[in-house]
Amino acid sequence: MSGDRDATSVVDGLFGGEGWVDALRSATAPPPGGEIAGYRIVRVIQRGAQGTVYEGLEPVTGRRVAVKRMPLAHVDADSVARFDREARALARLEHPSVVRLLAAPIDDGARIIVTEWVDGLPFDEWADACWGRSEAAEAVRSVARCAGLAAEAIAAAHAAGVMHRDLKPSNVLVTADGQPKVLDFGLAKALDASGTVTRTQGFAGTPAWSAPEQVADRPGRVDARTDVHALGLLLYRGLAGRAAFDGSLPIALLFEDIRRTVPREPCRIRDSVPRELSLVAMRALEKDPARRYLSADAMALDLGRFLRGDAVSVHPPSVAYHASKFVRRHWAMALVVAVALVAIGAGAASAVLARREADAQRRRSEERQAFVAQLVSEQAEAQAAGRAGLPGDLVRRALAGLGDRDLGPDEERSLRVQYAELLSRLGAGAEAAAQYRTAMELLPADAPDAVRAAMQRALAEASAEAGDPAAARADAEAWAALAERGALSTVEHAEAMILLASACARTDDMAGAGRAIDRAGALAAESGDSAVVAWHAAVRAGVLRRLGREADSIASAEAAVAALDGAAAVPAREARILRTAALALRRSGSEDAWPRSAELLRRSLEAKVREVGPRHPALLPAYMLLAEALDRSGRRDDALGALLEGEQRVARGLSWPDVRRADMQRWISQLLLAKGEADSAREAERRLREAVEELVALEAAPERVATTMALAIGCIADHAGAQAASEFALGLPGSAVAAGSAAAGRGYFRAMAVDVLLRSAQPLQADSRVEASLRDALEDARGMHGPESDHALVCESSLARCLAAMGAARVPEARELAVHAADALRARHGDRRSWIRPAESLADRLRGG
Amino acid sequence: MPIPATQPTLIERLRDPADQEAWQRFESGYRELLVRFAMRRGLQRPDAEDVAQAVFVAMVTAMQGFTLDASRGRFRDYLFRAVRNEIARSRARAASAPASLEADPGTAEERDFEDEWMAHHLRAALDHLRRTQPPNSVAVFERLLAGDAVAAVAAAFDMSAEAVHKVKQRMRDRMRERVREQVEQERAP
Repeated sequence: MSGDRDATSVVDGLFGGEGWVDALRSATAPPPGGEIAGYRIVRVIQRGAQGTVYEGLEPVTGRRVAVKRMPLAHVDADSVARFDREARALARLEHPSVVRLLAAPIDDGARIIVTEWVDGLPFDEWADACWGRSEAAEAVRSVARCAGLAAEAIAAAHAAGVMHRDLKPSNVLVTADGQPKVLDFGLAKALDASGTVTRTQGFAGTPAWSAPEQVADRPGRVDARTDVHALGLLLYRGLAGRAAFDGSLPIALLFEDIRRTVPREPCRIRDSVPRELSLVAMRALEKDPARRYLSADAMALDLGRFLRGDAVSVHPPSVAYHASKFVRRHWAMALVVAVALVAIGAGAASAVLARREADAQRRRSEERQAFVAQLVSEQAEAQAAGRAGLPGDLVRRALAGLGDRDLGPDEERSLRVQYAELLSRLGAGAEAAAQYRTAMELLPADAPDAVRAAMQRALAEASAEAGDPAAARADAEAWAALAERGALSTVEHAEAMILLASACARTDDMAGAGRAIDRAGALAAESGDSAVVAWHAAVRAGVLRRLGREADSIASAEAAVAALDGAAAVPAREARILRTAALALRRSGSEDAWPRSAELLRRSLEAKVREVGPRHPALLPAYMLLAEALDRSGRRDDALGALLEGEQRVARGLSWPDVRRADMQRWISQLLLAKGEADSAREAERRLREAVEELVALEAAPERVATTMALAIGCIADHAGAQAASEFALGLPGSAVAAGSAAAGRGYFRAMAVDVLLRSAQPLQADSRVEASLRDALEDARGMHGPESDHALVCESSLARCLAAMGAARVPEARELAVHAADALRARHGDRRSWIRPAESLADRLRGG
Repeated sequence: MPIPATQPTLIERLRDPADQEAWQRFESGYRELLVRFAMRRGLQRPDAEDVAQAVFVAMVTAMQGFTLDASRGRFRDYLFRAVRNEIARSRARAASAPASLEADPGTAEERDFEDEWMAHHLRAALDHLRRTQPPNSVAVFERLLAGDAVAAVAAAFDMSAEAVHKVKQRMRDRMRERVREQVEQERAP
């Protein structure tokens, strides 16, 4: 045991004097070579409960960064995965008030988080300094402004599916010009599997900044409103000069305080704090999450109102209702509708009416809003965890939740309308339309026409975006019928007819379209409303073009633009009008067609940005249309520029897979490949790979995936040769599977890829290796999807093609497979689907031979 | 000193390569020690990490059924020999130093390892304290470690200077106990 005595004596010696402090310091300093995960360490900034923060330098660039090192006691696969997902979402978030996350590797049993360097004071110190050096009124405004920016940052993060969970003054650094930078997003908490803060020993967070639900006896869920509470504490601290809850209390008492004690209002601590602003903080600090601001957005809006001198809201409408088209366009109509909706218990759309609501209705309305908020944050959490990324899931869960709740038809209808609004905002037209449809069915028979019409309108407009022309037509007709009955104003009547005309055109009923648009013209002229006149002219241009009346079409389109330019106020539909006019113009055959179209599409894009903000998913198609017009005008570089701008601003921010983003990738790749440069080609290949993965993750239709893959393979074959292309193809399914689509089945896509290669100008050599691969794919597909599934049939056809190319002896088997596959596919899809043609032509060829 | 009916020490548990938890704890705890020591001996970080990895790999086979007893030396010595060997191999591969293994470790080398070994235990103990002690105490302690004066810390936490001293002493005592326990874990009967 001599060894132990040595150790003991060393330890005792060390701890006997003061030597241990230095020993500990140098033990925890970065190792000689002063590097952590590749970043050169300059000095220690701060040691905290979770780890140490260093000032560091980025390799190569020498840029200053902050490096936080958090030792991990155990490496738990779940926690690591959760952390990675959040880190990815966070790294994509670019917001002026969020500290940019640069990297988050694991190094040496510790998690390293590298962020941009921020020169600033923690929020509390900064706020105190404000109070110290400025007039009270100015200090108040500075604090409110800063808190508002921080709230916006949190809102942006929520939209990206990331919760903070640990917001406190030391996590909000404020630069000299009052710009907050939020750091340390929930990543540390992501390492803790439970996600809640409470633990029996060793409290991992900072208790004084926790929300009641985090320190409850039964730890509650952490959702968006927990972050709102934290924002409230921040604002409180900034205004009152001290924290709302005393962190130096013993934990048990502190938790009790947080759960039960309402802190003294800031305006009662400092006279100069205005009551309204104080109330904003107090609302965020409500013990019951349902009574707080339901989103960081809402709080930011209220702070904005305060700074502008507007009244802060007493009952902030939910985010969904803010988007309500009822309110924005026709105030008078909205009032009528809103009163009617209130009468049937559906909730108010404006603050004015809210004050008239009975208490019970207000409570119900808040409960509904809370339910929606809960759903939204569930969705955000699910997205952050990589579980469910599509808006449809939101609806499915909401509907499942509806079953649990004791709701009458009024409640359900109102909820569905709210979801529909949300879905529209998210760009999920089909789902929105479905919700409106169901909501309409729940209208009582004696519901006033105005209400029915309003809902029908919402349905018709959502349906038009949904991609089912027949249904859109039916919905548009229903709205038009209500209009004809006299239920609507002239302007609305005109709009209903215009929508009907579009819907007819989409179902190829040009006669119907013509009639509707003529009727619309008369009504628009009668109304004298230049916005609807412009809208009518734009849609008419489209109809005329379909009818082959080119010159009239151009004239109508230009008339639309002129009416727009001459309008007294900018109409809400400006973007739509310009786009419709542009689309009508571009195929008009005039020399100027594409360039003029590009000009209008650029204007349309700008208008849309003004309408929905610069990051809305609905902007993607706009960018793509613009790019197309630029490309056709011969401005290829500008086209690429437009697509990249769209990607930068919008596509990157989407936290779920999106078909449009995949299309955009594909297109960018094509433009890059057209450049003919090696670098561009490599980037193109990377993008195409991503596009295919995205489509796989979306379980996109086989033809879409096939087209993109074929393009990818073809392009790579062009610039890098067939070998590289076949490697790409054969290597793709693995990564496609990694993209998370359980339903796709790797065999299927591999088979499709091989098929494309076998058919290409320099075909892949069909040999036993390829055959084996295809047989695997077939087994895979049969097992996963069934022997008669599209997937299995495509695999059969590919295998047949391979066998047929291997020699006469294999042809009989090839024929059998090919014919079986082609017949089955034709039976199911008819002969109008281009993607089954290769299988059909193979079968025909082999039958003949 | 009576030896209580023991839980197996960490080192004993390492005899079973299937004891995931023990191996994970061991690896995550001792990796830093090996890397730092290798870097101290002049290796670049990537090579140092390779060395650490190689030591663990070698240990898995060596530990199976291996009885580490007092007559064969302390675990610490065993680890020292293992990492030295791997460093030598690494150098040989890089052809940057003679390949022969020194029969006797130089005094400097041995002292370096002892330093790093102690530093390892201090770090591990500190991590343990961070996780188990009241956060206020930890925060006070961290500030003291960062170099703040007692008076400054007292002011920042709204405590008296004596209270800060008490915290420091308490943490020191806890650290000492914990380091002893950790060293104990390196024992095997």
